[in-house]
Amino acid sequence: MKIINCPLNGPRNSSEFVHGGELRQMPDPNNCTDKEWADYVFYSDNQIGVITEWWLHAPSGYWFIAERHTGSDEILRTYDPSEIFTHRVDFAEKVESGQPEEIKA
Amino acid sequence: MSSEMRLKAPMGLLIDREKPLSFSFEGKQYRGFEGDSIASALLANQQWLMSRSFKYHRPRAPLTMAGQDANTLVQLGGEPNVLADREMIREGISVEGQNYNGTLEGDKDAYLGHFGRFMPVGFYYRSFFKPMGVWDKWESFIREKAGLGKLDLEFKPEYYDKKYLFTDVVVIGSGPAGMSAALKAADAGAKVLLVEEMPLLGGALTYNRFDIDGLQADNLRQQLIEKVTAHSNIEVMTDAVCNAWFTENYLPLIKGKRMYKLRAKECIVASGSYEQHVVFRNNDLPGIMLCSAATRLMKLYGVKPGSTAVVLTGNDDGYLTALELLANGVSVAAIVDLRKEHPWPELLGAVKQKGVQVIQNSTVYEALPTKGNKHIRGVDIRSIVAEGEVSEMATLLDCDLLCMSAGYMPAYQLLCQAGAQLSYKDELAEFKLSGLPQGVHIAGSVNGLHTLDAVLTDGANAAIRALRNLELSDEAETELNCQAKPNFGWPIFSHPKGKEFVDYDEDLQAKDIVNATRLGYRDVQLVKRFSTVGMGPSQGRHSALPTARLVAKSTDRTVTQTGVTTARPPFAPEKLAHLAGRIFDPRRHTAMHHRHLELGAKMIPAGNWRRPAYYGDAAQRDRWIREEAEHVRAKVGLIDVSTLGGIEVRGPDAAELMNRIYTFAFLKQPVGRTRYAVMTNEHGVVIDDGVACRIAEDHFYVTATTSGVERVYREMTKWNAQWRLQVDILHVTSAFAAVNLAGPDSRKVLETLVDDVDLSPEAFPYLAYREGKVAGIPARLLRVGFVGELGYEIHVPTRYGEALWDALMAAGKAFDIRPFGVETQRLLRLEKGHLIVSQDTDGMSHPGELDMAWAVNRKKPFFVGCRSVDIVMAQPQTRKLVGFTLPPDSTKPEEGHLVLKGDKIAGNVTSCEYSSASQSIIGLAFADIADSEPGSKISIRVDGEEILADVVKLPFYDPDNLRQEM
Amino acid sequence: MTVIKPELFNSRSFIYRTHQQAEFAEVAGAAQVLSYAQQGDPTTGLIDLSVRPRIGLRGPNAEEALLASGLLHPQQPNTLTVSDEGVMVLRLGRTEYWVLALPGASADLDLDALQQQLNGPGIYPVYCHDSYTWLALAGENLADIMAKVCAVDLREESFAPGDLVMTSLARVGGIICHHQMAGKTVYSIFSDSASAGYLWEALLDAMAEFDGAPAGQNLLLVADE
Repeated sequence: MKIINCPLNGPRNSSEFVHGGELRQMPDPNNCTDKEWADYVFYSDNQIGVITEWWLHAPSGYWFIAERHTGSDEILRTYDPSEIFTHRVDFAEKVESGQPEEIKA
Repeated sequence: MSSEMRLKAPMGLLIDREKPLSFSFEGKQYRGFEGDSIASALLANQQWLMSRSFKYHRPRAPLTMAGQDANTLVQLGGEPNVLADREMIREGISVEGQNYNGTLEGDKDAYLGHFGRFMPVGFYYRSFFKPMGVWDKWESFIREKAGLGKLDLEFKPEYYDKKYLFTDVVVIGSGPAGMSAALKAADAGAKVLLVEEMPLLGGALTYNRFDIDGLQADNLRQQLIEKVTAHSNIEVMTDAVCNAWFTENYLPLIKGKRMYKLRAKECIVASGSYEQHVVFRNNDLPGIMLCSAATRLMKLYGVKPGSTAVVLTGNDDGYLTALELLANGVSVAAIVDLRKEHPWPELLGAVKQKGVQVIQNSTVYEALPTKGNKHIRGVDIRSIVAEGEVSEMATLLDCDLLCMSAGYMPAYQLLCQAGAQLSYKDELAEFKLSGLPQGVHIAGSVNGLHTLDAVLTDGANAAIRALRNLELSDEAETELNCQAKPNFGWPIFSHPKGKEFVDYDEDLQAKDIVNATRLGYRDVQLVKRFSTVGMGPSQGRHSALPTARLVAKSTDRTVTQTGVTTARPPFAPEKLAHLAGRIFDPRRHTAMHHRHLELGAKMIPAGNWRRPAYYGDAAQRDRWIREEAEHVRAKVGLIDVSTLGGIEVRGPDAAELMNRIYTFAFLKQPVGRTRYAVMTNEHGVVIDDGVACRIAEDHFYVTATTSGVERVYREMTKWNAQWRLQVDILHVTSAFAAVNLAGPDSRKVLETLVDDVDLSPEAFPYLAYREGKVAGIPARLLRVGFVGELGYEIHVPTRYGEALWDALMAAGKAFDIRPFGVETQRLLRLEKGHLIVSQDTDGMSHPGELDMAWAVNRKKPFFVGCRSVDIVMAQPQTRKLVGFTLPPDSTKPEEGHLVLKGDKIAGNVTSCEYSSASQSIIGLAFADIADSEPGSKISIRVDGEEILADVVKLPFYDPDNLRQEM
Repeated sequence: MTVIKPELFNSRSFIYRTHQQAEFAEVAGAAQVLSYAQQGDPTTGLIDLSVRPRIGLRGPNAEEALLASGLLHPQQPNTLTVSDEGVMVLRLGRTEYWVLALPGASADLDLDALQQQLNGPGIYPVYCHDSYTWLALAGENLADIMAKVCAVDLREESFAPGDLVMTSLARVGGIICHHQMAGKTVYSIFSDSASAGYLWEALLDAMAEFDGAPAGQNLLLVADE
């Protein structure tokens, strides 16, 4: 079984971790084209090389980032997400295109 | 016991002559000593025949004496396929042969051997598939003939378990290389685990002769063992098999009834090599064995393997075996040497001095059997004229033992699993391993080294490499030099009459392998699948090398290009019990669990949880569910909902996070109110729902489905690892025990237990949230309407859960309270038309299909999946979840039954029950959008029958929701 | 004098039914097992401490508040401290702390009051009393016993007193804390309260080959002769 080096808990069996998918830049959901959005949601590059992924250490509920080579399966580096996500993320108000709204309750 | 077959000490390292044991084989009593294997004890009693071969039912006896062939598979009590050359005898055990019809001695199926030419390679695949259906007729006959051993269906489970182990360096194999490596590593301060398959340390030192006098092996073995056992850094594990190599030196070690899962920082594989047989006619007769099998018999078990031997060898080791035989009173009729070259002069002189005839450049062309192929009685020796070809002229010699050695094959399995490659060195006629990953090292004869000095140095070198990785040493490796060339290039001699076995397990002859290539199976992997070579219990330990050579020659490729088939785990036979032993199957129980049991609940799994389905016996399920449902509608019921997921969201941005995670609007949700919360994923598919309580401006308590909460929690924390909102997300499912007190009398029950909350409908209306004390227990109270009656969800800290249940049941007694289960709740919510996410939804269900657009705020800046919801809801809708009814006497559809539109599948039934409140069968189903309006009909296929159901407006019960809002 | 029984209290251990033969004392409004009657102390005991007081807090300001309260607290993530008054403080990850009253803790210790005091923006209570069961494994062969349920190396050389790990044991998430009491090695184990009964059984099964047995908190108070 593979060992993953958790930045918080140290090296552990991979069975303690949950894969969270590749780190991807979300396009502006309100202004991108349908195709850009579909690319983001559905398509993966799926190429051999180093990719950046989310991993969760399940027993401590800790998410972190790993850089992994998809060919060798070697994990080159793991680190806290704060290295990448340094600022609060906000979403711009939706510019209404006049779609009907039906809100009850 | 026939004592003449037993040799004197020091022969018999494993047996204790002071401890005789008796056992039976095939109903006959035998005696042996403690430490004897079944096979050694039987051979000591001249009982050679141990099994019948798989296909031709030929008599078979031990080939390796090391558990590496299928010839010794026996039935031990209720356990089939026990290796008789590895399993030690115990007093009174009862052993039977396998794979025979009648008796082992007089197998009625032995005639099958004569039909060999009608059963060519691939016979089964090619013979029984035409005409159609013929296999079904043949199958039972073939299975009857082909089975090995009998399962005991009355068996009692035994206790097997697993344990983790940790070490700096593991050394697999305790031969000279392994012990040398272990000592070197331990001296430098590493913690070492030394793993040995046999009951004693020493590997080849325990049975092989390395010098003319036969002293070197014993002396070296004793020296090494003394140092190893005295070393405080070395832990020794004998009788343990390393059954695989997994990523980063994660190794399963099987010892007795336990599987150890070892994690080693460094792994040194000193697994040794397998002596190889010579392929000639009748090479499977009892009395024919590997040289090492004969020396094992003598040295380990003190059993004399025969009286007159012929040694057939392609290397010097055969000469040493001859000396060992002679030293133990076996006369050697001849050494038949496949080579043209002589061995080292002193060795040749030593055997000649003992009067042994040496025949160079020759082979045994055919072994001559006694009646019924029960034993070898002599050999037909021919000189070799070309590769695999022999002269016409034969020399016949009598013998009752033939020892053979065509060379060695490295025990490559673990190393290949680690990623090493095998390549064939033509000049050495030997496979070599290369390309080991970081942290894995190789030493000894598995590394192609065969002289003792070289093997010892190689072990130390492997340890030095491991120590360097551990940063415990920077010593340089010692150069080593090994001139030995033990492998003979072509020890394969086809015979026109066949029965020259390449693979004993599968009864495969040289021509079978060649024929497979002629039929177009050129790749060795395909040859394996077609011919079954290497698929038997010995897993190619002896057949891989001759198969590679045969396929290479027949397809005009090199042996390296041909290679061997993949050696997957497990390395040695592994009992399912080792995998199944002590499997962890976590169970979660709510605080009220034992109350449910006391009340006679039928418990069902809900994920890891156990929940009451209903209270009563399973035989009257429908009755209990109907009664419980009617009781909730008429009076008051109590259900344990502790398994509901719970998450707390706290902090200045709590509402902002809720607003981004769930589809509804939460920024302006008033404190003290609950709101339905639907979650979509980025594809816009509904994946969970729950109720969000706003406890304070900066504090939400949100429920989630029992099975979905883990995912919801993970999604929330992952998103916020990116968004960096000022919010804390806490998973609190296990922190709260919860019940739903439901029914028209629920307020009256609660009023008797609560005095700090005004429960009047005005002060505590539908969908409100309050905190107070219930029977003195601090509680969160939610007025929600999942079952469609006046009701209160009461959440308390888990430690009080049982006391809360008791208080409510006691207070409810005056109102005829009755507990109800989760199946009843499913019926009640179905009557109200509430869907259950993942039961009534699937991986494509967007809010529009579920009539949930009202719960989606499409004006807010963002929620997870918002853009996808916009896109899918802008498309023409094709299906919708609808409510349907059927008359009470109609066939009741089950969940999963198809909804048809013409000859197309439009959807499926997701929920369906008989509802006494509606006096009809009610259900939810995905239907074609054209059929989704109330008044339409949908066609449901129920076990071949098509029934028409009426699409109706939801809910089925109390359409104006008056009852839950009382 | 009434005999103390778990059912006398509203607050109960998640596995009180398994303690049929035990002797109890009242602790914080619940029944704590003192000892298992009719048996001497085992060399290795499994003790249910689930009803013992404990509070948790986390958030960006939790550390500062804890410092201000004067409690000894661990400097490194995933470590613990034990004070002379019998207060154990766990630091789980970077910003979560649990404060626990060990058996024999000072009677003056009022964790509820402390929870009220450790309050304010950026501090969030953690419901560790109800989310987690508290079991203590004390005595000998602890690393060997745990190796039968847990894949983390808990041998002394890699898991020193004062260390804690968040991991999976018997396939349930949990926290294992290494400390000492009455001269004994103790692994305090915190795991999902709903799985308490399951884990109790799994640990007893793992202990069986080392003659481990259920015990009460007295095992943690009396040093071996």
